Amino acid sequence: MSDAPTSGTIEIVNDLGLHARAAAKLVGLANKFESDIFLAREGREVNAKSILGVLMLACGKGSTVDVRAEGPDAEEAYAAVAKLIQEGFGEL
Amino acid sequence: MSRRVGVVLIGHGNTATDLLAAARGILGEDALEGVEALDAGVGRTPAFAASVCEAIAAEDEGAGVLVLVDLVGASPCACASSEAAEHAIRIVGGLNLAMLVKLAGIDRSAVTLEDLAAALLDAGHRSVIELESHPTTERTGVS
Repeated sequence: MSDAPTSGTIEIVNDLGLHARAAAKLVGLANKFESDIFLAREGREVNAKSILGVLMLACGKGSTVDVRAEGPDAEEAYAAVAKLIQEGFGEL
Repeated sequence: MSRRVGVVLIGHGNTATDLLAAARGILGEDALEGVEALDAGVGRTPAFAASVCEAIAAEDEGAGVLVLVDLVGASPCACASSEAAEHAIRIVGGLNLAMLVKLAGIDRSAVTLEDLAAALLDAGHRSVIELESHPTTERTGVS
């Protein structure tokens, strides 16, 4: 059993924040995993596989988002989503 | 293979095609394949009424057609209503980008016309909100 994390808090680093195309990219990635993946900010948690849900978080640059994965591939899912956010959705 | 629920977008001016293009700009050019967009210009004309009729007929594979209009009660909406006798259609007003984003994530071969209409109504309702302020977040002005 690996000890790789399945949850963590990650900063939004790209200038445009978690905008619509970034959300579409994140949701596309999340849907490749079997695990449930959740994003949370300021007490609101949404399904990372729903673009409209992700957009509701209204995450701007400099905000942080809590990412949590639950399921058989939770470690891989968390790592992939965290990497995408940390890399600014490819916009840096 | 199941028949797919058809979808026709109707908007004033050029908003139907523009909104569809905007959704594809977010989701990718292959998103919302098969969705028909009709631009109503300033409103009802005989030619436009005919194009609504043709579009609904073309989208009707037997599972019904969901017609999404921008403004309830306006003449383009009335054009769609007049097709209700000929085809199994549901008409939903308040067409917006959130509804198209929701639509893109739904397999239209696996839902009923009624369930599709309900899902898009829900997405539309959820998207019309006043934003909570996030004072610690840098404003970008970009959605």
